[in-house]
Amino acid sequence: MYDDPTVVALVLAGRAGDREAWDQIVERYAPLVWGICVRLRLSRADTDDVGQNVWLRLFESLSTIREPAALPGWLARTTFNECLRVLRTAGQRVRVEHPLDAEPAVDGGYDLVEEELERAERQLALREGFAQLRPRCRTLLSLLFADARPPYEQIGGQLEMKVGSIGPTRERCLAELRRCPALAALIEARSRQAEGGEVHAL
Amino acid sequence: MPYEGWSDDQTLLTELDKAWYAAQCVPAEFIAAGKRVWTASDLDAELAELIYDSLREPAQVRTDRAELRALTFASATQTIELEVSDGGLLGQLVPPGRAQIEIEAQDGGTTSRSSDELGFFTIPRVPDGPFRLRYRTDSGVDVVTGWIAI
Repeated sequence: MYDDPTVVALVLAGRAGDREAWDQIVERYAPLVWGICVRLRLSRADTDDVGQNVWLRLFESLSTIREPAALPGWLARTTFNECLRVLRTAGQRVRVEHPLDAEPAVDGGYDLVEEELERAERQLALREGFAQLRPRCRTLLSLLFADARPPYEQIGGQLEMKVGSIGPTRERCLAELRRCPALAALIEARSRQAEGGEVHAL
Repeated sequence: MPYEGWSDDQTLLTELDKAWYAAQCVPAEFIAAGKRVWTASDLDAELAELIYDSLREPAQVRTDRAELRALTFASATQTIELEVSDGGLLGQLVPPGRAQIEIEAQDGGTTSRSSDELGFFTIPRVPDGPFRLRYRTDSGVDVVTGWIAI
């Protein structure tokens, strides 16, 4: 976990009644909630159920959150607990239909939550960093990571760029991405964490 | 740690691709439902969670009339029992008492009903999509259930 200044600002604004801030919180962290449900192989209906309860709980807790920076961790744990609630209900059915099956064990729950949290924060930082890039960099990079990457000639044509300068431009754009505040903050926090991290409680 | 890999251009580009893809995988409706919580919420309401759903019970213990759907929601102080009947819902509040009940659809539409002094109420038509119940008892308890679709 790291102190993302954006999340602190969003929580404070949401608490003050800013609807836009709430929407942004949901947009930023929906992939985290969704990702944990996918990891635990919940059905779509159960995932919707979990999502509703997580957002409702967050809404209810918004005014009492003591440590806004700890929000992502809180969301990850709340989602995990909501998933377990759903799985327990489903598990009762599984046990009767297949009596030999053990209880739906979710081993390593703590690791799973930490992994998903780490991944979601990293990917969020990457998306936000990407959104802050110059439009030309965004277009070039999105063409480069596209599933079916077009040939350099085509990319060059589209961006009115010499094929020979695609490589160097790509390098510059990625360097810009690493330097953008969202990524720089995360990279710095992770290196600090490696020396002995701090633990937040919400 | 993946961050060390970020010094490598190809790795960073792949990570960016994954980050983009992860967000694309989340259905727009899932995000929209989360946003709607803002308009439909009330900080003072107790959340009543689904604690029983006949659909999730083992097939062996279901009656022959498996179509009969029964649900129970519970909060710290309140229980709501629902039964689907003839396309509508029969409801029972525990502890019994009069209450104003709002049926809130996810698209924002609401319908109002009242329970009688025994806590019994009816909803003539089951809403089409996901909905939830919110009610205030005459004794002043404010309760909202989790979302459910019948």
